[in-house]
Amino acid sequence: MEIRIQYIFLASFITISLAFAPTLSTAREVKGQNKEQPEKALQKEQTLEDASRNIEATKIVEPEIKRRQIDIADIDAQDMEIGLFVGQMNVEDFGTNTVVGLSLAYHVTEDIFVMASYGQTDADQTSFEAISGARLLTDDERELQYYDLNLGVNLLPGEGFIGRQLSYNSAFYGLIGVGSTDFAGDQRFTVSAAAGYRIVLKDWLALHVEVKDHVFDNDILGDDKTTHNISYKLGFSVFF
Amino acid sequence: MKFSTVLKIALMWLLFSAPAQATEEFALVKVIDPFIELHTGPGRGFPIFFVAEEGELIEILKSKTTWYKVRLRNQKEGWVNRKQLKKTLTLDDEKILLDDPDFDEYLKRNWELGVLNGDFEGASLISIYGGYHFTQNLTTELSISQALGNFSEVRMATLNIVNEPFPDLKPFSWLPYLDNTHLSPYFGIGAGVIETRPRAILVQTEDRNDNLLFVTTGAKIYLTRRFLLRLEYRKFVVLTDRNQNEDVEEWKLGFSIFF
Repeated sequence: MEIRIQYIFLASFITISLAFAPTLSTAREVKGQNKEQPEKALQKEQTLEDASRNIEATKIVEPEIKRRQIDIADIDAQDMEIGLFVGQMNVEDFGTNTVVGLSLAYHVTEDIFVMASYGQTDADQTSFEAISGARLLTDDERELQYYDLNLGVNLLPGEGFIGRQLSYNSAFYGLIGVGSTDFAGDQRFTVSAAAGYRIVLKDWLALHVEVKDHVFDNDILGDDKTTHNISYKLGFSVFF
Repeated sequence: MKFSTVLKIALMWLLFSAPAQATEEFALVKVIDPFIELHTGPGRGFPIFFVAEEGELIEILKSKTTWYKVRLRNQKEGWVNRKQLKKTLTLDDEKILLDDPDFDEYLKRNWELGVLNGDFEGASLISIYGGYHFTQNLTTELSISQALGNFSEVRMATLNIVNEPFPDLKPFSWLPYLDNTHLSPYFGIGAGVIETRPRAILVQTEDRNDNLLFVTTGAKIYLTRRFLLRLEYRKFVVLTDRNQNEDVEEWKLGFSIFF
């Protein structure tokens, strides 16, 4: 506001000095810098005393940068993370096979995130099946699919170094979640817990190593039995 | 810093960064604090490797949680916390407004997404929901649940309307530590569909599809930033095609994020 008032004074000063006092040395300084003169200014009277007071103002002409109105709220917030992983998963009594899946996470704070993940693997034959030749499950029932919804905590955030030149931000994280495992023809309530290590290669790209225990009850072999099914996997994720 | 210096910097910047500017424009702000600290990563523990001084112009590139990646004139890039960035100005000398999802934002939220885990008449329940707030007090919610029991798997989809009469209640203001806890009790009614699938291990019986009605009550507790804790109770009446309707109770606890 102040600057605008100064402009009005300044403008009138320049007009007067151009018209009546071309020899005034101070006025020359101003001439080059202010070409745009509001016509209104002519109407105002201005004394030389006022004008000289405004010489200071001539030095604080604002830079003519194109004003860019960018809403701060539009800043690209990269709090979401989508990822793919591949690894090995052990299904208790049914051997170990490749597991693949995807995950979606939202980072609430620098410490807390929520994550949903989905994965699938196949189960082999049990030792009993291999020896006796009996078949407990059909091929279809041997396909295992799971989903889980997790709460995650970033632990020990820091930097990892490769040689002298390269450093990457990284963090250990812990996950705890609930979900469901579709195996042997049934959906089974599953509690999962995981520990992982995330290396942020680029602002938008991260590498994960994760070990997860999927705990569910299994009654395929008769009695209800709590099984621990461990998976370990390597994954990439992209922040967006 | 004098304006002439700013002018020079601005001109230099216009000259030398014109191509970059053409590809992407970032918000440009001026530091008015004595300095702001640049961290190597988006977290409080990452070391401070540089400071931007008062009067310096910085570009805001992106954000991760409460951290903002900025670029200085000398092309140094680092992460600044929102608290510090708040003490900067835009070029128009207006106070910068950062989208700060604090408690005020919580009261004005439109969307809510959450996950809950609990008990549905003895079966383990997992539920996800999305809610839309018409006003501070009135919300509609759609939820999808799966309950896994010993004898059957239950799948449910419900739609309800919820009233939060006191959205910013502070019931523990007399307690130490918990005095700032905001708790919002709510009540609601809803309807939905339920599918019951008997376990494969049992003698094969048919899947059942029924409609249901329910009343619900619970509380939402504001935790931090975009995070809520939610506790809910539901009492269902399953409208079966048998002689008697079934009453079912459900308890669940979970968390939500809001936008």
